[in-house]
Amino acid sequence: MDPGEAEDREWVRKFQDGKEEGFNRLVHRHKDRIFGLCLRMLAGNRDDAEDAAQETFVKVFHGLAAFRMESKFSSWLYRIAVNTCKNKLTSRPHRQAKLHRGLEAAESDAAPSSPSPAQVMDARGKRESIEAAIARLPEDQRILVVLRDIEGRSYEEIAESTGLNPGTLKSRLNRGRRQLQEWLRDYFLALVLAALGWPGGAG
Amino acid sequence: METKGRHLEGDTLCDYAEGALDAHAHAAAEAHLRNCPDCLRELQVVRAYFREMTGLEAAKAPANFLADVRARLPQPSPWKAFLLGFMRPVRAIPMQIAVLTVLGITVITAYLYERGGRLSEAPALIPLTASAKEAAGSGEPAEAVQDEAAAGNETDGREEDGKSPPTKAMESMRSALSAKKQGYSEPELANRKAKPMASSAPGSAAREPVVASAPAPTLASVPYAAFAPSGAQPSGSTETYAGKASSEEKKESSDSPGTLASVKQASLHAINLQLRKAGEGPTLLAGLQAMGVEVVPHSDGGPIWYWLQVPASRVAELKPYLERYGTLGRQDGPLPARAAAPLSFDLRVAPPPK
Repeated sequence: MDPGEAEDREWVRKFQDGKEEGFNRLVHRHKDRIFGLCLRMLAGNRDDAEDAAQETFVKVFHGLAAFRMESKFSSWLYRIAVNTCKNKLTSRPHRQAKLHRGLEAAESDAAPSSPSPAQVMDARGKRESIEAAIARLPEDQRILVVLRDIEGRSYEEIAESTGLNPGTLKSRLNRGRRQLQEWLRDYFLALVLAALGWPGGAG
Repeated sequence: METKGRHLEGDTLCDYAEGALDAHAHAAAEAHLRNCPDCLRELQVVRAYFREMTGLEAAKAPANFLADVRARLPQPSPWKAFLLGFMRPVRAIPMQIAVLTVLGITVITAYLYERGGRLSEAPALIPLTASAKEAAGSGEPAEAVQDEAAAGNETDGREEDGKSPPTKAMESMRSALSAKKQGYSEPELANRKAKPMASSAPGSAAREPVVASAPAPTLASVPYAAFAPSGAQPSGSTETYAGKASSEEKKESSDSPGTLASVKQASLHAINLQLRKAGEGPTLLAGLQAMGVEVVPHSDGGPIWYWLQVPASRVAELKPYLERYGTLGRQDGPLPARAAAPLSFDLRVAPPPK
């Protein structure tokens, strides 16, 4: 058992023993990761992400007494967060907002463009470009890319959190990866060339 | 290993970069990459992808995130919060212990309740009057007393010879006790008394339960003398133990030497007893109570102990007897304040015949 999971279990036990400090500690430990997951799952909408992250922990609060620690706490937490975000994505207000954003994108440029070399040097521009590309991924691919390539969760944990079998998980994840590499190909090539010291690279 | 024509598939490159290929596929991909600059370049792109993704800035939750979460939790009412706080230590108790504790309390409560219920129906016995003593001394059969009581019943509550029916009934009980002292066994006494007493004046029924209806406890092995107050030992047949007597009866009782009141007034001593065998408890305790000893159960959550209030002068001779039944606490001594209140199920009946 990794140290993080051991600490989670200690706080879970404290909460189950009636000490609400255990819940506060769990929120403190995981709030940033869950908020980040919700933010990326909900295409960068901070209000929706904050609402989903709060809702996730409210569900945790109500379910924690019955949590038997048969799985990792973090897997259970991510599963709640993923389902909460999926519910939000299928909710009517979110679909309308998404449709609105889609129309705006269609008017400008449907495909996200790679950052320019100048943007590569600009950390903010780089982050925004990548986040925008992630946000454009289909939801089923986006959640896997976020959990695996950004959050670094294991395949077993992701399978547990999403309920996908390993084969489906891997194929969806690789589709999302290839899509991002295609959209951001110039940017990644610029990074490679810059690392090699080529004159056409970002450096 | 997946190849796209003569190049490696994108999935294979991702798996290679992640180290997710098995040994054979990994070796094959490595061999291909050594001789294919295009795939090597694609691998560099894939590796750049992984670097950038893992290097993305972690999002920060708003500063007041926890407070916002807690604000969305259902707020318990102050009363519920109080109860939850009160129950918190209980929730920490393992379920098995909690269940056993509840069962134990239930059994003890049921036992005490049943016993209290029976005891509340115990007869009200009052000191024998001189006439009763005479009746007893003259060998007058108990039936005569029954007839008298029956006669009182026939008057339907009307006074006869200046005595109310209840008084008649009380006198009949005194006589009954007298008869018992003369050697009637309890079953005999029950047979002889039940009907006439039960048919006594309606208004007196509640105040004067039938002697025979009470489960008169016997503990033949208990030396009654050991429990009797020093100097208050009743003479002859004047064992005068009052149970749920009326205030008048109590007054009468307190005026007579050897009554419970006089026992109470005597210097009492409390012996703390824990029964060794639970099975012997009811018999012993009923016997003690029959002797006029007040028995007060108490516990601090552990085993049940009993305060036995006995005359101070009899403690020394009583202790060896009690030690056969259980453990005597070291805290015996002057009557504890909490044991001073009489038990609601206190039973005082006439002691068994010597």
